Amino acid sequence: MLFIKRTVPLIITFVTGIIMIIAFFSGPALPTIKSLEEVFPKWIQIIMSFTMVLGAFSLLRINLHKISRKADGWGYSLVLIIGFVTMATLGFLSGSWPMFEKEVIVGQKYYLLSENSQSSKPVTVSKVEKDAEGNVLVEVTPEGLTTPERAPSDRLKGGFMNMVNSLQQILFVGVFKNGQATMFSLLAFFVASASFRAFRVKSKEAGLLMGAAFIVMLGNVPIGNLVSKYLAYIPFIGQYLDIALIKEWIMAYPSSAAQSAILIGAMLGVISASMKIIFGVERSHLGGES
Amino acid sequence: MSVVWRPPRKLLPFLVLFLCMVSALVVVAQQGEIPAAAPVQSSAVDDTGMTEITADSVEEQPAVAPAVDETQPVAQVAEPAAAEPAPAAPAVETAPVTQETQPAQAVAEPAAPAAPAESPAAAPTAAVETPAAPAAPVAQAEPATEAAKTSETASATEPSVAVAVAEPAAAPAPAVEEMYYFDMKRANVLVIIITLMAFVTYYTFHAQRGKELFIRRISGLSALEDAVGRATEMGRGVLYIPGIMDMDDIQTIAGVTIMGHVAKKTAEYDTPLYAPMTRSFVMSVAQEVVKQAYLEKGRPDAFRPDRINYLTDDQFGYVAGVGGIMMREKPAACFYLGTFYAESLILAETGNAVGAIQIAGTAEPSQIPFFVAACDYTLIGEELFAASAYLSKNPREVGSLKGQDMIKLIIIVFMIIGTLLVTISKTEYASGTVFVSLAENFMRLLK
Amino acid sequence: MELFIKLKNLDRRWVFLCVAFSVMLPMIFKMDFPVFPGKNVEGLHKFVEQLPEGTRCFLSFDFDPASEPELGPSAIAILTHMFRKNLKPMCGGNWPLGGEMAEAALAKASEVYKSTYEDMKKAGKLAAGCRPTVEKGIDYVNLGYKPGAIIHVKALCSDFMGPYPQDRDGNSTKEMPIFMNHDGRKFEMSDVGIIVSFTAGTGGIESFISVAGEHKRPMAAGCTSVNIPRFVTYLQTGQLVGMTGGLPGAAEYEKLIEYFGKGREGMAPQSIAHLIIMLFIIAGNIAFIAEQKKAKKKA
Repeated sequence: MLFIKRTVPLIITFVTGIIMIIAFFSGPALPTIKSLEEVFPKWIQIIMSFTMVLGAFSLLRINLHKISRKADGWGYSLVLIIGFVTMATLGFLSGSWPMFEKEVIVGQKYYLLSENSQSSKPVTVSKVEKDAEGNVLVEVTPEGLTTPERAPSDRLKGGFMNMVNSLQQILFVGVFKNGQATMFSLLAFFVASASFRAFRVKSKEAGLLMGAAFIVMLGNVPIGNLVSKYLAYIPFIGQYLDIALIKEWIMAYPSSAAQSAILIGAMLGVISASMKIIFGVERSHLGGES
Repeated sequence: MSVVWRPPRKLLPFLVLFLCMVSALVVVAQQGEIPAAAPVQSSAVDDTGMTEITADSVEEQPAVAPAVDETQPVAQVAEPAAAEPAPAAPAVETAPVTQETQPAQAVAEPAAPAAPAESPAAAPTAAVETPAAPAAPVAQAEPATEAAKTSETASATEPSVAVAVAEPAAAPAPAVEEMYYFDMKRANVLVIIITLMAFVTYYTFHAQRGKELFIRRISGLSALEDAVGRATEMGRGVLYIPGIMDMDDIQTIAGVTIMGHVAKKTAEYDTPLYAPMTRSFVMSVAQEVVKQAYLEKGRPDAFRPDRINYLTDDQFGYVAGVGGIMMREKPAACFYLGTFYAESLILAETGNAVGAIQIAGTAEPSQIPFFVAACDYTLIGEELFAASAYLSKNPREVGSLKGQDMIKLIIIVFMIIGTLLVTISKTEYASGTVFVSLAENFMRLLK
Repeated sequence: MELFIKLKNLDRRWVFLCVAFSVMLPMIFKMDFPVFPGKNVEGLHKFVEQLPEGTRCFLSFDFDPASEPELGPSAIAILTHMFRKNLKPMCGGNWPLGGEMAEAALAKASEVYKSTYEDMKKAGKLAAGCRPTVEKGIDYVNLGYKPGAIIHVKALCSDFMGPYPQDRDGNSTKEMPIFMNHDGRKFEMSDVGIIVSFTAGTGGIESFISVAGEHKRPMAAGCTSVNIPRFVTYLQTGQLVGMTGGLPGAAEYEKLIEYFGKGREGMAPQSIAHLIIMLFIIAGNIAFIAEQKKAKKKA
């Protein structure tokens, strides 16, 4: 068991790591190895996709258990399960429906989805043809109009699929996208509260940080130019107090120097950690001894 | 050896290395075939036949008379380029720097060998396959003959019309693909990796022979045990998040490694450990790591796999879920160690709102300021990767840290030398002197 | 002084309320602040301005709805500018929702272009070849999302049309006028005049910069404010010809193209919010100093 849980992963890590390193440095004279540089990441993506099933089952199991025991917060679990099942069902239906779609029938009424799939209009099919690529194109006449228009056949939906699509759009655009934007907008408030709580001038360095932060914050917004205008009245040094310019200098030099330094250090750490993992020195992620 | 000053024995290898490098540069500069003080800017057309486009090259495009075409009301040919040097000036000024600093950046951000990085010399192949021709603006949906006439007229009068694409080559190069086993363009990456590994190996052996290697105190890691202890005393749990990326991210591996250490502490103190995950694969690995930690501490009964669960892959859906867990379970200690993006401040502020002690660590430079502002302890960049060595005190891992530090020292030395050389070579006093060629060759070494 | 010491323990919900009002009130009263374009945005604007008519430009939408408020206005402004210069934007994406973001930006940009066509024409600010409307497949195209990030970008460098046999709507790209060259040559990456990536994080402009040696196209970026320090380095080295950073960057670009969009609308709330945050920091520090003085006196 230990052989499978520890030794085999170490061997696989070592072999694939060395192959990838060789692939990185190899030239066109080694086409098979070179092609692995692009193929391996795709294999990783495919393998990772299977683990989605693991996560989904874990999620469902834990929350169903919570609902069955009526544990604290079981209402949230119920909402989660309903949302999960609804979105999954709608997604599977709209994704797999083409397998069951019959051929487009001339004269039949369908719904033509807009290009962004967020709306649809009732149409009647007047012609079906294939283009040079073999794609099926249809000529449709919208209800209440006489001018036909051409569209790819995959945008034509029957009544049921149109309803599925509408529900999906409502949930995705109306709920999910707005929920994402809401969570992101919390950052604006949290920045204010974190700044208020944490930015204390406890030392000279903290004072320097505060000054730089003020200049950058002012320089980023039009008010900075207004302030610079008034600062220009200060004799001798006023002309040099252009907040926007000073801000650009801070961003371009001290700030990016510090970022680059952190990045260099982090990347050296990444190389070293990667090498330790490839050569089996670092094993903690396999569980147990390091 | 001077009797006034004898350099320390430890510094000797570095001094020797430094002197060898400087000597090599001088020797190379003195060779006739490398022209001294050659402009560092790339020539307009390189051997791939592609024009390197900058605002400068856009300005240099010759003025083209608009084509007259009755069927095409829209002029297809470029209008005469407005001569406005001011905006191009920054591009021109920075063009020499492009050649010099681009390789420096390649050095600063070495891709992990497993990660797909720059492709090798597919460029010559691509260039050979693409016949050199002036780029034309897109043809309107009009009769092709008129377009052909227009473009022929345009190309007859002006050799190059638009910005993009290769300039017409004087003599088409023969389509010969060089077959080589080793991509020389990546040789500098290999040198750095080999140097790093040499130092790591040396210091690892050094440490394994029993020599004590000093690691400075990292307050975030020292506070780890105290944080878990605090949670135990308050009768509340510990929340651990190993980042929001998948297992192929090295920071996630570092985060999961530290999670093992934290799990040992929570097993010892019987403190609940909550670890919501954003990737199913990381969840599986984390469950295994924590289970093993509990087994080692003799507390397999205390292991609760339900607490190491998957939430969602979506970034903000995940942070909403974690926020909910924090507000309900009210952990007394929160650990955020791994890759984080925009959700970092949301997590940290929510943790602060529930009164938790927070220890964060990430190598994402854009998120470090948020963690520094909002958390009690922050591991910055490399400290995250040093955590495993710091906590385990394993000689092999401590030795590797030392090796990393040495390579950082070499990088600093290179940066200082390079900065001095380039700065001096740009002054008027340096023209015609050896400094200019030294600077050039130094940069060429890094390319 | 006691007041400031009390302020130190201010409930953060008051802070949230002040921030909310500082953002809402300028929007309600439609306050407008003058915008002064910076060097980076001007650089990008001038580069686009100088591109010859008909040049194809590749725009990569590498963000999701969460970053749309910051990057969307930049995208719309740059697209509008391209339409006015009769350039041909081809939009793609390295993020899954990039295609959708591109669709929304293209729809808005073409609407802005159409509505301002007459005024711009009278002012002589349109390219000679501009028409009153823009058409998909001729003036622009949305190629949609393709997975792979840097792998996808490398594939574009060797064969641009390979990953894009169809656009996002399923129309074949082979016959599209936007991809046709005068000499009948297949469209390649070398035909692209500029690459612009709207980046919210990974898999954006850095993918293109990593393979710059292969495509050798000029590049520019639109990024979120938090990523500005990361990409400023590329501007310094000349790898990027320009950059719009966050909402201020979008506002500056809108100012240059004389369009009052979401970027410029957002400057007033952003300015006031920044001032409020600075006031809170100052108040917090006064409280801190007052508390220290009090403690010293007691001691």
